[in-house]
Amino acid sequence: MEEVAFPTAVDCKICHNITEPGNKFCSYCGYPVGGTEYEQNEFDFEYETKRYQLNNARAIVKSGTNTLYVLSGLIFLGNLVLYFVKDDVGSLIVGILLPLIFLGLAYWSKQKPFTALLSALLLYASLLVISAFADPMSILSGIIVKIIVIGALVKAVRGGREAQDIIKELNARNWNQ
Amino acid sequence: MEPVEEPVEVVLPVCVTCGGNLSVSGRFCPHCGALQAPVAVVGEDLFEHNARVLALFYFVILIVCLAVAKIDAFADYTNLVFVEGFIAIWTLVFAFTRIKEMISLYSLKNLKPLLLLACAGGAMVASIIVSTATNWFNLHVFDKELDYWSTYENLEYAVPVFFASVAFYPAIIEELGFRGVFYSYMNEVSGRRNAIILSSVAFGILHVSLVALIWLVPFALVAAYLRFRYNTLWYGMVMHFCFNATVCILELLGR
Repeated sequence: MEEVAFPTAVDCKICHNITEPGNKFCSYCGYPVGGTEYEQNEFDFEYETKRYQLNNARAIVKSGTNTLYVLSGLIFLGNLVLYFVKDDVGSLIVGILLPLIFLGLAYWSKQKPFTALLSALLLYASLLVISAFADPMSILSGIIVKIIVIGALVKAVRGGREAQDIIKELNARNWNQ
Repeated sequence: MEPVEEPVEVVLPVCVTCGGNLSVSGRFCPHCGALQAPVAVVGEDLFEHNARVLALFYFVILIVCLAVAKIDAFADYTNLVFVEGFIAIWTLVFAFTRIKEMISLYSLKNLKPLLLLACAGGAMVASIIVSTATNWFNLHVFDKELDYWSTYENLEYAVPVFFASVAFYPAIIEELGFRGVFYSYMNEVSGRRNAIILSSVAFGILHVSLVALIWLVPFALVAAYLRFRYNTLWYGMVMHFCFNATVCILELLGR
């Protein structure tokens, strides 16, 4: 007598969730466990693309974080020099508080990149406007560094936002980061 | 005769795309693979648009405030009042772009009197602590006293104008600007958490004092949270008014 083949439960290769017999897709991560090879390859491609995009966005965020570390150092040193040259207590206070704020934002950018980096960009751009009012010639001093910092922070804010959106999407799909 | 129990109809969740039965815990349809609750991602265009609107709103006010601090003529309130008028109109123009939402923030429905009292009391206590600390700091570090009153003291109705300008005006206009306009635009593109934090950071920086960030940002965080939690500007306005009015009272008493 011939044996009747019953459909069996399948272990999903992406999330290892057990898919009930007869189901074409894993209900946990959406992998086409019972799909064609083409459908499975298409899923793999989308899965890897998302992870690749997230890694890219995280690399951009990291460069923004590093920019904040460098910026903190530059502000600290600049104000320290001003304090010794002009004996200005205000410079010393700014030289301590401002780098601490930027260091805090750099650290925070590891957890909340978009919020932290946008706060840093807002603060830095405001400082440039404030110093331009205090001394109009200050716009020109270190202008290349200022442009690089603004450019890096704008790019990092975009990267942070992209990372935030991708993580939201990966979480919604139960996909690993 | 015993009562016959009605059979309970169990409604199983069905797929939004193909109508097939879903498993209780899954996020995807096991039949067609459709994600059942896709994430709404805000488009790049809307984000860039809102970022530009907020940058325009914020930097124009910052530049105006810096110009006021730089130009001696604005030490006289008869000139300063025009700047306050300009900032008020500027804020109202942006508020007008979201008029329905802004009007809803002034609704008196569901206001909690006890919470209003707590906001007022908390703001007054915070103001006394902050004023005492800043006066001590300014005297010992910069050897000068903070002085708002000198801008108003020669006016005919100096005291009412002083309170109107330092306590009442910011409570109305700054709350509308930051907890209203800034929060709304930011919330639309990046969610309430970012809206609360970033509107508070912007509010803090705009006061152009690094040391003041220490209390301005937490103050704004509380006001923005109350705006989110109760969908009203009233608690923030009461807090803001009481905080600034206490500063005025302390300054007048100290003379």
